[in-house]
Order: sequence, then C-alpha cells, then structure tokens
Amino acid sequence: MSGVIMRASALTKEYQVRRGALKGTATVKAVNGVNLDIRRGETIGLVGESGCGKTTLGRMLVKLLEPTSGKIEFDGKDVTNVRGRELKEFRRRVQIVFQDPFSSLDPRARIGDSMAEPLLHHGVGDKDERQERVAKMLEMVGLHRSHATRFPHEFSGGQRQRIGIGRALILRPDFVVADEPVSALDVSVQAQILNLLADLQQELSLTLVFVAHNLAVVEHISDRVAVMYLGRIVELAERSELFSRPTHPYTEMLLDAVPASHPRNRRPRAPEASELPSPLDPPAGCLFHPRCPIFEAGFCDEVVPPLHPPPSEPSRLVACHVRIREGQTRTFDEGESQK
Amino acid sequence: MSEAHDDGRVLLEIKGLTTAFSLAEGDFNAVDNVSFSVKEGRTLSLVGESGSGKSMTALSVMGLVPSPGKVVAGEVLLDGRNLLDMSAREMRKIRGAEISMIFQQPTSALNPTYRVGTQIREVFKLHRDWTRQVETEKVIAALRAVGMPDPEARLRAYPHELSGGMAQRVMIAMALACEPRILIADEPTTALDVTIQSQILELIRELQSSSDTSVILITHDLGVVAEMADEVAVMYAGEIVETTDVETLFDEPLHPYTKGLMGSVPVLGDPRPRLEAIPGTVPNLTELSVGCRFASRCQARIEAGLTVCQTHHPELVEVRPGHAVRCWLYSGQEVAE
Repeated sequence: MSGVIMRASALTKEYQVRRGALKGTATVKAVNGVNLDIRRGETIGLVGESGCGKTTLGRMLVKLLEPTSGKIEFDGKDVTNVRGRELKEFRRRVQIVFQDPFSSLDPRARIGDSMAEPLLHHGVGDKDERQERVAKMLEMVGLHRSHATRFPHEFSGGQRQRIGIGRALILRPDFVVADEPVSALDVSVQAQILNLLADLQQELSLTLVFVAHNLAVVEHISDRVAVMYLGRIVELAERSELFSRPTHPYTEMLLDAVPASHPRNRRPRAPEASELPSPLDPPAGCLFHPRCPIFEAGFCDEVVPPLHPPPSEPSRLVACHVRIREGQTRTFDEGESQK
Repeated sequence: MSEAHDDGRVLLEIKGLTTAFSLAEGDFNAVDNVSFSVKEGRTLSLVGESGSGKSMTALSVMGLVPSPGKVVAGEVLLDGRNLLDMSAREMRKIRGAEISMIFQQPTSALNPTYRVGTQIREVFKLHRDWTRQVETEKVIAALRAVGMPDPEARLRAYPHELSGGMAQRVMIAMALACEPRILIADEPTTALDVTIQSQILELIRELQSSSDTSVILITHDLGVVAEMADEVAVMYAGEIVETTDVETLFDEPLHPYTKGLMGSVPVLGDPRPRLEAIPGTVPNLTELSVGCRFASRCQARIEAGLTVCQTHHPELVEVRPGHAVRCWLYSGQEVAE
C-alpha cells in the first residue's frame, strides 16, 4: 500500500425534490460531507442499505456525477473541476462496472466493438492492435476470443457481466468502482464473478471500490469497509475489525440482521417496524438516533457526531458520541481489544 | 403422520405436478413432475435460482399459472381435495381463505389506485359476511397484527405512500386476514433491505406460530432458508433435485448442485480466500439434455467418472428416511463398468 490514490473531502451531493404542488422544493443530501481516503491497491467496500448514498458516492468518485460541494483528489491532483484533456486522462485511469449487465451494453453492437470503443476513443493502437487487445481481454475475463463477433443477447447474465468488466479494464485503469456488480446475478454465478474480480484486482494491481448491500459479499472481497447511513459514513475499518467487532450501533444492527448461516444459529429477532427516516426530513444530530438502542437524549439528537478514531483504535473511524466516549472512559472488557 | 392431531400431519400434498409452456422458443416444462408435502404449522422452503421453477410451482398450486402455461399433470391435494379439479369459482373461495400468497414486489402487488384499507376490506367482502363496521375493525386489527404503526391512520394511505417494508406488512395483513391454513411467500424479502428483511421474517415466524399456519417459502437465499425452514426442497431446471429437513441439508447436503450452492455463497464471519464457483450457467429449459440436467456443470460427475449422467435422467431416490436426492452418485443404480 503506497499511499492514498483517491481522496474525497467534504464531498456532498444535493438534489432538489418537489414536495408537491404548493409545498415548494426540499433538498435531499444524497451524500453529506463524506471524507474518504482510498489507498492504492486496496479493495474498499462501501456498504449500506438503499438510500444510504453508496452508489452516488461511487459515481462521484468516477466523475459520472458532479458533486454539489467538496473536493476529489486523484493521485495527488485536484480533479474536482477538470475538463478537456485532463478529464480524458482521468477517464482512462478511472473506470466503473455497473450493476445491470443487461442494460449497460448496447444491444445492437457486437461485443468486440463495445469493448474496443474505449480504445478507439482514446486513440490506442490501430485496428489490428485493438482487436488483439479485445481478444486478450475476453480471455482474461474467462470468455473466448471468438465471442467478439457476437451480440449481447447471445450471452447469459454472468457472461455479460464479464464483458462489462472487460470493457472497464481494457484501458488498463488504476482505479475501478464496481457498483453492485453481482446483485443482478444468480447465486451460482455470483461466485464466478467475485473470484474473477479478486483475481483481476491482484493481477492488474487495481484499486477497487466495491459498492454493495450484501454484507457477506463485502466481507468476502474487501480489505477495508465503509458503512454508510443516510449519506454519511458512520464507520470505517479494516475488514476483520469491522466484522468481528462492529463499533457503530448501526453496523451492529446491520450485522445482526443478516440471516443465520446454519439453522442451529437461528435467534429471535425484533419484528417491530424500525425504518429509515425520510431523507427529506432527516433527524437532527446523529442521523441514526431515532433507531439507536444506545442513544442519549440531549446529546445524540442535537450534535452531529464526527467520524473519529476511538482512543484505543487509531485504524478505525466511528461516528458515534457514545461509543467514542465509552472508548475513553473504560478499557474494553472483551480482553482481546488491542492487538 | 397417521394421527390427525400430530404436528406432522400433512396438510397439502403435491404429486407429480407438471406445468408446461409452449412458446416461440420451444416447448418446455417449467415445473416438471414435482412432488412434495407441507405439514401443518411447518415451513417448507423451495430453493432455487431463476428458471428453477420454484415460483411457477407456487402459481400452479394457486391456480394462477400465466397464459400460455398450463398444468398438464399432477395433483394438488388440500385435505384430500384436488385443487386442480376445481372450477374457477371454487378456487376463488380457496384463495385468500385457505391458501394465500405474498409476492416479491409488494408495491406492485398492491393496486396503486385504492387505499390500503379498501384493499384489505376486499378480502373480507369475498370471504366473510360482515357489516361494514365489523370489516373496518377487522382491517385495523389485521394491520395491527403485522406491526403497522398507527393502523387507524394507515387505512387511508395509498400504496405509494408506504415504504417497501410497510407495503410488505400490508400484503401479509391481507394474506392472513382470513386466517388461511397455508401461506405461500414468494421471495417475500428479496426486494427489502437487510434490517427490514429481518423484521419481516420474524413477523412471519411469529404470526405462523400463533396461528399454526403452514408456510411455503420460496427463496434463492440460503440464509433465509437457514433462518426459516423446517423442510427444504432444492429445485433445479424445473425439478426437485434434493429434499430433506433443514438441518440435514446444511449438515450433509448430497446433491452436487446443493453442495455447489453452499460453496458459492460467501458466509458472514467466515471469509474464505476463494469461493467454490459452479461453472457454467443455469440451462435453457427448451434445450435440456436427456441425462441429468446438472451434468454439464457437475464436477462430482467427472471426479467419479460417471458416464450415465449424460445419457440417463436420474430419479429422485430416497437415500435414507426423509432424505431424497436426484443424482446417479447416490442412486445405487449405476451400471457396473
């Protein structure tokens, strides 16, 4: 890990939403002041439930969405407002894989042409060289070079996602955002794609941002994991730290909600409705406080908790007043708290 | 099974159910000779991927197979009565009163132009002879039973005003309003976030145990199976390939497809360096081979050196009491070579 490849500072994306004919508009903060350092060569998972802003954040990082405010630095350079040649260079190095392999490929273009398009756009090689690169890439993602002349409808969902990955990687980018790349696929095919992504990440020393709602998938593939809630990162930690000792109460709630892996591990759960508050009308203070089992009135519902490392754990970041204070006033009673 | 009041009394028995489609792409059986039984107060889970026939099995039981599909063989016995012999009018009396179904997309299963209360009231109008006032009370009670906050006010809500989780609660309230004996839940939490899924699964569990309803739970998610099922039937390409109780399935899966599914799913808290992916994809039902439908993806077949798999279709064979598998590896019928 040689330093930070991508840095988001106070990154915010706002949308104006009409509330109704006479009520005017309201502002929704899809991403709300996110600070995130992504290290060169790591796989970082962005996880959270629908509406948490993980996809919006991912799309801002690859500059498919313009942030409302905040800054993005790539390789030490401010790229928030780059245009023209600089933007084109950025696009060569930063790519995205989409969720739906059915709608992200032009149905009327042959696979080889779809995959060669980025090369053409960036003026890489002549026709023969481009063809050869497409053929090599097809093999790299587990397809056959003869597939280049076929159309998208001739492929299964898993194969199309391989094509989507191949197209994203054909310019040899350094940085790839994969936005729910396996959630549209059948279970038995998901594993193929996850293995492929992990292999390619190693082979090409990619930095991978893996956006997903499935916690087990994120745990499987990530080095570090950021948990998002209503547009903010609430916890960020090394994979093993986050999953073995979740610190933010929302992370705990998420992990508790995952179904048992074996019928013997079943446990009773709370059936009561506890849902995401409307992002049009977010709660004051900590956004999670209305659902939080440890929230303290007069504090959590007034002051927004900053994303801070708990005193004993410099490698973890948590946005929770109560947990940060607990970390200051008492040592962990689990015993194995410090490495 | 012989005693009428035993927990294990069979309530619904499905025998040789076959549902055929004739499309431009070809003819195929979306459900092919499927047999299973559901016991009183128990949960049977149908597990499979897209195209396995699990949803079509449920729709066949409900008499709701979409055109041009047709149930061409089999029996669906509820208390010994074959639902497949019933007229459309008789089935309307069964649906909602004795067997109910909830779907994956609660927001699209509700009528967007009617208030929630009106839609639940509809069930009572069909199956109960109550006054309007009693109906209203029962609608409120049904919403309260599914944990809907402020049910008196939610009566007047339209479906678009509800979140996915709340809409699924309304669907469950509607499905259970007339206390059916069987609830078919088709991927009831697949469209929901994980914290909401957890609430809905627990809700189904609690309602089931308080009313002794039997549940047929259709899912692709092994976690949901582990959490909810008593018995499991694994489906692949239209047929059941393995069936047993849930503990045995997780402890000792036999069919290579079942094993493959378990190896290919990442498990929380148990990160493996590599997932054991099943090669290939689910076969096209119009182009099935004469042999085992999983043969082209099966590693175990190659390791065992079996050739019969590609030429002969295996039967579902009980290898020990309550555990049946459709695989030549366990059939004991392999021709000695």
